[in-house]
This record gives sequence, structure tokens and C-alpha cells, in this order.
Amino acid sequence: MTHPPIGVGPILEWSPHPSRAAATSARGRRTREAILAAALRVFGRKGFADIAVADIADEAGIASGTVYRYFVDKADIFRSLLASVEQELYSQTLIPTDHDGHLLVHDAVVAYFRVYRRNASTYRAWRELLEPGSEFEHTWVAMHQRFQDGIRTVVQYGQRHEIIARELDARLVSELVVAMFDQPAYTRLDLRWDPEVDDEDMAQAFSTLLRASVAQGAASVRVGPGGHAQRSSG
Amino acid sequence: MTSSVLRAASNGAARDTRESLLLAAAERFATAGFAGTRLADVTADARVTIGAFYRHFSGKGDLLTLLFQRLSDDMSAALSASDRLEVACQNFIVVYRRHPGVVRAMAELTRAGTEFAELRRSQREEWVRVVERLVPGEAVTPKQQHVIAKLIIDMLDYYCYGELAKWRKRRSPQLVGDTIGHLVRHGLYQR
Repeated sequence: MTHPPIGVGPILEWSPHPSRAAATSARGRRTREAILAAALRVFGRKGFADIAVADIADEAGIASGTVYRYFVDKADIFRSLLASVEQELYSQTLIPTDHDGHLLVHDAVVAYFRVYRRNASTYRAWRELLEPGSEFEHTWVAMHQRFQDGIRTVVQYGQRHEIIARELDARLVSELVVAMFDQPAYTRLDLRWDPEVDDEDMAQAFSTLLRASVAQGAASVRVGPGGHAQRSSG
Repeated sequence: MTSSVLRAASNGAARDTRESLLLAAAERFATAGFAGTRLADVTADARVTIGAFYRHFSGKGDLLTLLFQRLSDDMSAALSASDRLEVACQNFIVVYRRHPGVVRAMAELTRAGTEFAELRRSQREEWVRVVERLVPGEAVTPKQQHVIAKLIIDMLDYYCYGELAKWRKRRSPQLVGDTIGHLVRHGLYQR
């Protein structure tokens, strides 16, 4: 069985603003990393709205001027964090399919929750910034659109090969799958509303709904919450 | 006029005032969100003085609490109306569409970590309890029924929010309900 080639890369490319320095030296890179790590901690504690660049600088133990050497403002810092979240999703959460084209969701779901936890501060701040019409809403929508498109392609493929019911609306299914990944992660890992539910419970629920095959097999199409799908050999 | 007639007349007027304010707030929350809604605009829309407002409500939060109560009552009735999961899901969407201002404001205030988050949380627990009983139980444990019910409620919440925020266009609630029902009963793949 061959799958149509569907390769797309991450959509969030962060690079320094033209008026700012690129961190090319080892020391510059270390400083940049320290700023991002400090920002993560501060966003995690107080969200996005209430903090200033000065707070991030204090947390990193450097002068505000140093932060401004590399970043324009806190939104610029945040955009850089978003890009690295997407990169991590891209590399960590591929959902393989078996050689019959069934999605193997269990491990990918568990990996997704791990990525989410590691980037909890960024996700929390991002959610906070999800006001209709904001720049970050646009980024949120674009990233989820990519994920949806990948799932939709897999569903349509399954329908063509008659392993998925043709009467299902592929686009709707993909939207529901995206909703399945996103909101439960938010309510359980960010809001912490469901202490009685663990990652394994969720992975099982996903597997039930997506009726994933338990057969092991070579992956031919991989699709993930990072918003990508790629063909691999096998 | 006797005093009781006068009282009845003024109670009717009071109810109208309250209702105008609640409706005006619901509309404003839908377009501007909670923080973006000014009390002055709500009272202007309702043609009520600020003094009259404070005779009925203590503030914006009070308005939202009452509006949320209406959504909750609406939702409880809607989810219990049928013993079919598909219909419950369909009804969920219909109810959210009736209260766009509340949905938007509650999402905003949940994100901001206010006490409204707790209100939402406890309502969600109630809705999960109702939907739990509609999840087919033959192939899954009671725990899994619970987890799947939560997953469905969260899925619907996010789906409806996206519709409200215009991330996607509207679909027939029945189609969405049927699709969720299909996934729960049969999974994505045919045998």
C-alpha cells in the first residue's frame, strides 16, 4: 500500500527581528537560552499580561538592555517559545499508521501529553492570549489547521481504501480529533480539573474512539499534533 | 390605585429592567468579551441608568453569573432530553449557540484563572455525569465510560468555541452528534 506524499514542515519560524542581534556566538546563544528559560518560568507563574520584559530580565539575572539586544518585546520572546513548542511537537508526536493504514494512537497520545507538560507555561500563556482577533489566535488556528489537514488526508485515504466508512465527513472527523487532543489536555494538565484521569486512561479512550489497530507494522504515513504528515519508507 | 397594584406594576417594571440588562450584557459579551464590555455600554443599550443597574446587580460579574445559570439550566435539560448520545451531543451544540456571550466570557475568565473557572468546572462535572450514562457500556469499563464522557464534553466545548470564534463555519448539530456517536459506537475504522 502506498500513501500519497504529504510533507509539510513546521509553520512557525522564529528568527530575530532585523533590528536585533542574532545569537551566533556561543555566549550569545547561552544568553538567548537563558532569556527563554526565564520567560518560561515567569509566564508559568504569572501568565502573559501581567509581566514586563524587566521581570524576565530579573529572572534571568541580566539587565533589560541585554534582553532587548535579542528581542523586540515580550511578544517577540513568546513567539520564539511558540516556535520551539511546535518544533518539539513535530519531532515527538508523530502518529504512525500500521501497514493497513490504521492510526496507532496510543504512544503518540502519551508523547503529546509529555510535550504538553514540558511546555505547560507556553500553552497556558498562549491560551490566555487567545482573544478573538489577536495575533496569537491566528497562530493557534494556523497550527491546528495543519494538524487537521493531516488527519483529514489520512481519513480520506482510509475511505478510498474502504477501511473507514465513506459516509463520514472527513473534515468534520479531523476537526473532532483536533478537539480531542486539545481541550482535554487543557482541562486536565493546565486547569487540573480531572485528577482521577491519567495519561493511560486518556490514551485508551483515544484508542477506543479512533479504534486503532493493535497490530504492529511498518509505518507508511505519519501524522501528528505538530501539524504535519510525512511519508516514510516501509 | 391600591398599593398592591402599584407594587405589581413596579415589580413588572423591575423585571423588565433586569431582563433588558441581562440581554444587553449577553450581546456585548458575545462581541467584545468580558473585559472588553463596559458597564456604561450595557446600561446604555438597555436604556437604564447606572443607579438603576446597581439596584439589581452588583457588577458585570453578577450579570455573567446569572447568564451562566441560564446556560446551565438550558444545558441540563438538553442533555437529559434523550437517551441517545447522538441527540445529547446535538443538543449541546444548540444550547451553546443560544448563549454565545456566556460561552465567550466564561472561556475568557477561565483562561484568566478567576473564580468563574470553578463555576465552569462544577457545571462540567454535572454534564459529564449525565453524558456518562449515554456512553454504550458493553465494551468499556465504567471508568472508561467516565473518561469518554469527559472527552466528549471537552470535544464539544472546543468545537463550539471554534465555531463561535469563526475558526470554521457552522455545521448541522445533528451531523456532528451523529459523527461523535459513530466514533463512540464503531470507532473510526471498519472491521
